[in-house]
Amino acid sequence: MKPLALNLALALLALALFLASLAVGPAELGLSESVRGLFAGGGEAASIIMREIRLPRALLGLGIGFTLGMAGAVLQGFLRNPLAEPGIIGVSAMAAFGAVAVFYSGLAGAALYALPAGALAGALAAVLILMALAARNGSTLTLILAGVALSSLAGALTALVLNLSPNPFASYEIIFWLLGSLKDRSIEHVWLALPLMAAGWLLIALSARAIDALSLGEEAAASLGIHLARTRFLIVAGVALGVGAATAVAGTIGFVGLVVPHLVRPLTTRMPSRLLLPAGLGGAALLLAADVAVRLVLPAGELNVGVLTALIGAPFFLWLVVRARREVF
Amino acid sequence: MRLAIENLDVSLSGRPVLHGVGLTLEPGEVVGLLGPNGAGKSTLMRALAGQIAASGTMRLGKDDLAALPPTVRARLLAYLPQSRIIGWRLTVGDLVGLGRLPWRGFGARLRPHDTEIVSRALELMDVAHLAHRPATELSGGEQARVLAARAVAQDTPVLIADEPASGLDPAHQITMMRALARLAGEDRAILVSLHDLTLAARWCDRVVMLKDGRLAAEGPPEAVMTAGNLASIYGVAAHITRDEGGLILAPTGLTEGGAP
Amino acid sequence: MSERGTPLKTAQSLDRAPSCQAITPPPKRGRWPAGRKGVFHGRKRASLLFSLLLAGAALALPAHAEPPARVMSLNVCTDQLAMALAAPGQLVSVSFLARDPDLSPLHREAERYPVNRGMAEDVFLARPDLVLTGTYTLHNTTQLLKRLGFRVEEFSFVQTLDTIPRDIRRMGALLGREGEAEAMAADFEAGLAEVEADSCEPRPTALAYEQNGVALGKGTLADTVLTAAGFRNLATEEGVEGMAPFPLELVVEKKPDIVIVPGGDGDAPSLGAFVPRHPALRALPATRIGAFVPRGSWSCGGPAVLEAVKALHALRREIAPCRKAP
Repeated sequence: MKPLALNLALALLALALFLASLAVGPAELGLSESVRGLFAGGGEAASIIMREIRLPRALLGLGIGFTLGMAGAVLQGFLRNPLAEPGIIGVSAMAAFGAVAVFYSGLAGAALYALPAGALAGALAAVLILMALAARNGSTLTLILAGVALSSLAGALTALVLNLSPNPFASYEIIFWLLGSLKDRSIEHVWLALPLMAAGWLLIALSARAIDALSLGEEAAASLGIHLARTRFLIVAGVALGVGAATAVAGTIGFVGLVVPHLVRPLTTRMPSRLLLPAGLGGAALLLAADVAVRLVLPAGELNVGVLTALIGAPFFLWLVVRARREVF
Repeated sequence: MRLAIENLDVSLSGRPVLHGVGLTLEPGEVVGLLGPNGAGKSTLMRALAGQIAASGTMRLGKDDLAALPPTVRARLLAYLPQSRIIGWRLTVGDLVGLGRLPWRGFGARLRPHDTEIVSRALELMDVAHLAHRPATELSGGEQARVLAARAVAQDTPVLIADEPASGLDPAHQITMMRALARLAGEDRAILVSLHDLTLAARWCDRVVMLKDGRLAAEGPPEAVMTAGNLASIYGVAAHITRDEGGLILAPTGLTEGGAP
Repeated sequence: MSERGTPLKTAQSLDRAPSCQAITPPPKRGRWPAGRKGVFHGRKRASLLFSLLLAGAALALPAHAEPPARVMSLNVCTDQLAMALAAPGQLVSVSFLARDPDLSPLHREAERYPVNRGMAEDVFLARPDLVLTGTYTLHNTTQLLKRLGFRVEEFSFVQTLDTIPRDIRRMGALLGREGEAEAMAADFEAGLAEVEADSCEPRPTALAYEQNGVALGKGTLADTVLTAAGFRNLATEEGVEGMAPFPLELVVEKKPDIVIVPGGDGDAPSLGAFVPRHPALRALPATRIGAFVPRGSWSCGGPAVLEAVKALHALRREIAPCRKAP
């Protein structure tokens, strides 16, 4: 498929699912009522529901899905590993731990900004640890192994902090941090996360040439004028910013970054840079679709969207592992 | 563009690998880099390509090679690593097109000029007929030629190729060496490491022989590839003859005391 | 955030959930796995069995005729009644949650008592004559204690305004403090009757909206308190039974006159606390949002509930004065 046509088609799909996300909810609003509510403002129930509840949710679905898809694509390209995923270098788990540590300790009161502050601090810590390891030995294997260790450690620490919280609700919230959700987010969350995610997108986009060159391995890429350390910084910082901000407001939503690049890649030239935008758009579409689905499947006891993405993603991951043994993507 | 190195020392993980190596590479010549495994051939090439730190002087024309920004260096010196990595199911054409990366602006597509250079590189390595095939589905020898075409497409005055002929069938070994010779004919300087002694003797204008990280011999093949040098450097006895195309060297056994 | 329903659906069966009526001090996780038979492992099992052998002879059932001399309460709601009624020295310990101002109206009094974590071993070491606990919450503990020969009295977690005087009198009888209990129960009934006598139209709508967007519906203490204070409980009208998730969108759509949200953050923040504070609720122009009831006053069915009834009654009079009789 021509890149322009592909991007256009995925953008339209994401837009359609964005509108579907706006249309789904327990309050049964008619179409005209919804549209009026979205643009009118004021104290009408329809307006409050659309602008304060559904719009933030749909915006976050769009932004977080885009971030996860793009982050997955760039990591797969960078690590030349079709099994890479934002979670794999430990950024998601460390972001969740950072958010949990800062928020539940009450260090920042109960302020909302404690979440991204903590998540970015956690992601930054992950970045620094990974950079320290990668500076000495730039191999991708080191990065992946370090990521696995960081993820396990961060997961355990998250559970520890939540269990130690005197607030009896806190220990139940581990579900959210492990399997995230977009439920009941507000526009404040959007303002907290979106600028950070956008900064992440920019950094990732700047690494486009480098990940193309890295298709040929690090030595060949360096000989093509690619600054490897700078590339590593751009990608790890971009992923940390994007995934950190996304995790801060929605918990860990796994596998979007794994599944989407694989679904979209066959429709591209497979040049890693050409996958970034389609994977972002596809990620937005997938997360929005999953978030609409959780509201339709169990309207009352709404499922966490992270549960659904894991239900789809984990078998997909296993299938990839089997396939990866004999094929190149 | 002339490449001149003097007194090059390289250590890997604190272990000295190259000791005071000096070497020049003139435009228009193919220089063969010979030596047994572990002699430091790949290390020398990686140092020239700026992949590892080295002390000593490396001059490319008037410039200090080590001080050149990576993007500038990539337009002057192409490096074909020994490891043959193809990460994704890219078509041969797209893969070789990556060689144009140093010449492209951010995100810019290939211009007609680039496409022309890519086609020439494909022709040169005899892979033009594979241009639309996924590179990952080719044979090892075909992949080697595709990757070499990528380095050629960089269109640089200097090309450094680490064992480009290994794993190729005899016909394509000759194709490869003829391509390098043709590139040298375009006034480029070529440094190529080889294990095939006959190939080196017949296609290289000069050979440089390394042993234990030091320059052991250097000069035209006829002068340097002697039974004595082969015995002291490789530890092999060889049957050496010649025809109108040059030397023919066939290792026949180990010298007294075996491999050095 | 434990998403909708997760904590509260299980509030009545899990020990750490701060359900109003079902709070029993949770055992430390892992040391006392809830909902499993045979909870002792390894050394603990051995030491318990050993103690059991020793105790078998020593422990006789305490005589019921005499008021119990050593009473231990394992549940924050039985804590309230026991602290209010027990004779000096009679109550040997209360649950650790009794010191939590958000859950325990008598949290100051609780500072004077040792606290327990509701574990069978706590009880075993204290050797009480009477153990007070909530039904259902620490089922395994209760069963075990009964098997070990302790006298255990359970109070139902289903509490409403009607059950409170009954529970007060029952507690009085158990502790041998019938006189005090009767006076307290009578006061409660009189105070409640006074408020209910003032009932009139219109009845504004109210929603008790807890952490994570869980509403208190039919059958809850809050429901009876709201009704007694002259409100209509929106959650009950929307068909919520007990404690159940109530979507934020529906709150906005139904525009209740007041939304009662948890006050303060307690000891530590949680994400669930953000739901009742969602900007969508603040955007409702005519809806009042606040804690409105004195801290902790309606978390347990005890005499303090009357404070909640009175506070809400006063609020109702303020926002919706009685219509003049035609």
